Amino acid sequence: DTTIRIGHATPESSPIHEALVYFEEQIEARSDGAMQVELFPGGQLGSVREMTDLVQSGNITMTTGASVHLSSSVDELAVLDQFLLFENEEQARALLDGEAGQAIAAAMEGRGLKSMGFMELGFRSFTNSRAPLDSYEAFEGLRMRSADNPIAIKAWRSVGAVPVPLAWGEIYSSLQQGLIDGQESALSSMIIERFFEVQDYVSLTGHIYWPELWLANLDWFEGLSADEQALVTEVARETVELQRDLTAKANAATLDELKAAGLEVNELPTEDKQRLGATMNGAIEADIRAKVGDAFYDTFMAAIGK
Amino acid sequence: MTTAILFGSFALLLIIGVPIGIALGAASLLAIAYVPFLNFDLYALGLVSGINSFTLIAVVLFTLAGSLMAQGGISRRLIAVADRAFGRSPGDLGTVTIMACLFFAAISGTGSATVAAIGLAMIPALVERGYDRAYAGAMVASAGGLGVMIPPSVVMIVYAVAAGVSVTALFMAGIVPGIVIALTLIVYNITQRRKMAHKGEAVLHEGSVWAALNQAKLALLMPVVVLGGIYSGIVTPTESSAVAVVYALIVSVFVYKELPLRDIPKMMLDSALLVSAVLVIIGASVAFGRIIALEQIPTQLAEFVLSMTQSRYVVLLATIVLLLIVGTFLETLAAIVILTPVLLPITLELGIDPVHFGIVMIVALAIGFVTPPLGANLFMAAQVGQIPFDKIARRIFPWVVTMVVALLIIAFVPWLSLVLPQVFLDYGG
Amino acid sequence: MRMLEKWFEPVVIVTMLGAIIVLVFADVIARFAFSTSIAVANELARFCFVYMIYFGVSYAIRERRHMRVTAVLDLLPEALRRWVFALAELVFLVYSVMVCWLGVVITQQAFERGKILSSTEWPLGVLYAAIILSGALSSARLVHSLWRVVMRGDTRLGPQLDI
Ligand code: NA
Ligand code: NA
Repeated sequence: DTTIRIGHATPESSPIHEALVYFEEQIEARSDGAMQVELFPGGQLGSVREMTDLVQSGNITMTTGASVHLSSSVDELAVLDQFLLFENEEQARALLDGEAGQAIAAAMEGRGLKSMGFMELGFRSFTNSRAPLDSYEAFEGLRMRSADNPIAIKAWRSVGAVPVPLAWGEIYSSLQQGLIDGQESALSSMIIERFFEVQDYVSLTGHIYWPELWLANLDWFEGLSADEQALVTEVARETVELQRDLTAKANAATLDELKAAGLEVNELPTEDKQRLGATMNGAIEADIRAKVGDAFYDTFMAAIGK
Repeated sequence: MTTAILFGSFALLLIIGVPIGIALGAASLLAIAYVPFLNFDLYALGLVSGINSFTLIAVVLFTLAGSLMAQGGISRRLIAVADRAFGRSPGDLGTVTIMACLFFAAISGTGSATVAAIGLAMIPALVERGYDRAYAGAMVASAGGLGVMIPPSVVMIVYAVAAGVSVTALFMAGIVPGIVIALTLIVYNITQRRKMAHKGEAVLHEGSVWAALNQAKLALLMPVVVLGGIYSGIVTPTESSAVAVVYALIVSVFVYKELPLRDIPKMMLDSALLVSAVLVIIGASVAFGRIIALEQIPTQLAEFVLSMTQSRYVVLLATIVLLLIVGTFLETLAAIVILTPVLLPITLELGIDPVHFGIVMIVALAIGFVTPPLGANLFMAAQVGQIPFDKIARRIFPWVVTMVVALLIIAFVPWLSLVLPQVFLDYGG
Repeated sequence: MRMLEKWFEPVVIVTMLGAIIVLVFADVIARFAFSTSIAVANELARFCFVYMIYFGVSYAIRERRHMRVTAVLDLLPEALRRWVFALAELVFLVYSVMVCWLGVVITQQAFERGKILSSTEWPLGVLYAAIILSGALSSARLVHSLWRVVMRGDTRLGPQLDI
């Protein structure tokens, strides 16, 4: 079967889909139609977890998903749940394209998955209605939405914040009701989910960087001819590059929109960021090590120079 | 070819009497066997992921809450309020019955609980007042459909999951169309009431409306707690369904003391079995949905339909006809999970709002509750009213026509569905 | 043995439903009264729900409560109806055996691939095992149901209720 079927959970307007359309066009053109690509956007084939299952058992060829949604399938991905590992996009990209990314790709191969590269969801930041988050101390007592994830909850508690586990769809109304003071998300979500309507401050905390993993069925990839492998790998590299550019542009535009909507935007000083990272990662290090294994943990941290 | 295998074997298995969910599952397994790149584990994974949903939990909890309230003195108090408010109005006890179904629908998530709760008390009372027994049964069966048109509604929950829309928006969108249906039923009954004998007292209960309201205050507070909690966003629909169960338990068992505690496990088992027998279709439909998506059937169908017509009214009308036919044979949830992924791409392409479309689908399928041969509300009304099934079935036709007229109004005036979500939830704004 | 036949699934079903009510309600109370949340409540409730539904699927066979289209069956003469009904139950039996086997397949895969549930961190295979149990129980129930049809001509259905 020469058809590459790719499912993903993001809308057709997302940079991920736009980049995958490029992948489709290029693969079909450069293989002279010998390889075909079909895209199934918007979660029509299921959630990230379900699509990962479908890739692993060979029903579909590829999917994409945030590392946080995949760590129940590949334990080692939990290293990416740590905070403030990267200083900026350029550094994160370089490290993920280098040894750190190779370590993750090797772990994925152990689960029958081939990493096609690291697309980007980007750094996550905060909105809240209490006060600008401009120091380490500002997180004390902040009632914030957290994913229903024990490790994340532990990390936020370590800096004095009060994480309230809520489903993604409940954030807006909980902010509106004052059940929570703030939430953390990608900048684009602050616009798409209309959090800006019920929040006063945007704090560019950049406390965690989320790659969007792009994975394929390993057996499928290994069954391709050398030429086909080279073509797929090359087009995938271009696709990841394009997706990162599109995401960067979207983020810049989003920040301007948030300012235009009247939100006060502030940065978190570097030394406070470092303290935040040290405390939070210290609180969860034992859990992360237990999940990913000491050997992998040390390899990965060495690869990113920590 | 895959399409032919999928739908052909499904139809064949249905005809020989294989349960609906199993027929869909077996058809999906056959299609997987035929398509070279699909593996059987696709099917089994769907069985779990389809059911492993927090939102769907609300289906069993609203079903249980409805059954607790049907038997716990809550329904009797709601009937008393309807009686004292509408007993002397045109259509007398018929109006009371339909209004009681409307009130009960606001606390129950299912049609069957609504028919059971109101039919058990009202069918004998209607007969005493000179109504024909089969006519009364047909009326309750029809008005029982309000149970899924007025929120909370288990059918809306399943549609929301299938279509990826907000349960809260759908819960708000159903209110006005539900009232439209109730009013048309009341009007039809008034036209018929003139031809009947009038016997006995005009009203069942003496006393003021205020006294009845006071006695029913815990029952009337329930929709405020359950729906208010959802609409204000402080609880999710599933959480509010758990609150509804606990509230109904406390009021029925400890306040009204009309439901013995020892009956509760039996009621839990009954609700769980009812829900299992209908939700089995959801697990089976996941693989079905994946197969038709991977085979790009909805896309092809959408292209085909849009090449025939670009009019949203023609498409809505065709959808209604299809749903009325399908609703005659299939259970409601089966129709929703099979047809939503097929029809939604077409309607979205034409700019039909998915919430409005959901309401049209739900009302059309609720009409299917009372169309023989497979009319669940008819069975229930026959059972609680002790009326032979075929006698009710023969009286149902004018009620179906009445509801279809109301459905056409709801379909062609989207404002009726969308006004409340737009005003209160800023939906689509 | 007879007690087990009658009560095994009901006990599981009612226990699971009771647990769902307690978990979801307790989480609401925790949020309003104590401004906190029971992190595993959502996942555990879903876990119980899957078990409740699939044990219900099996027990509904005993009660013949699965919804069927009987319009065509009802047109058949009694003798023929019995054999067509038997065929329908046989299809259901083959399906259930297959589901049981596929349950074993995905459960094994989930263990091999090291999949876990995200909140409780239980192995995902524990959840998938619901399919194995349901398939096995359903198969046993269907063998009994087939015996009822073929040996005794019993094609009676339970209440065909919709919701
Ligand atoms: Na309702
Ligand atoms: Na019907």
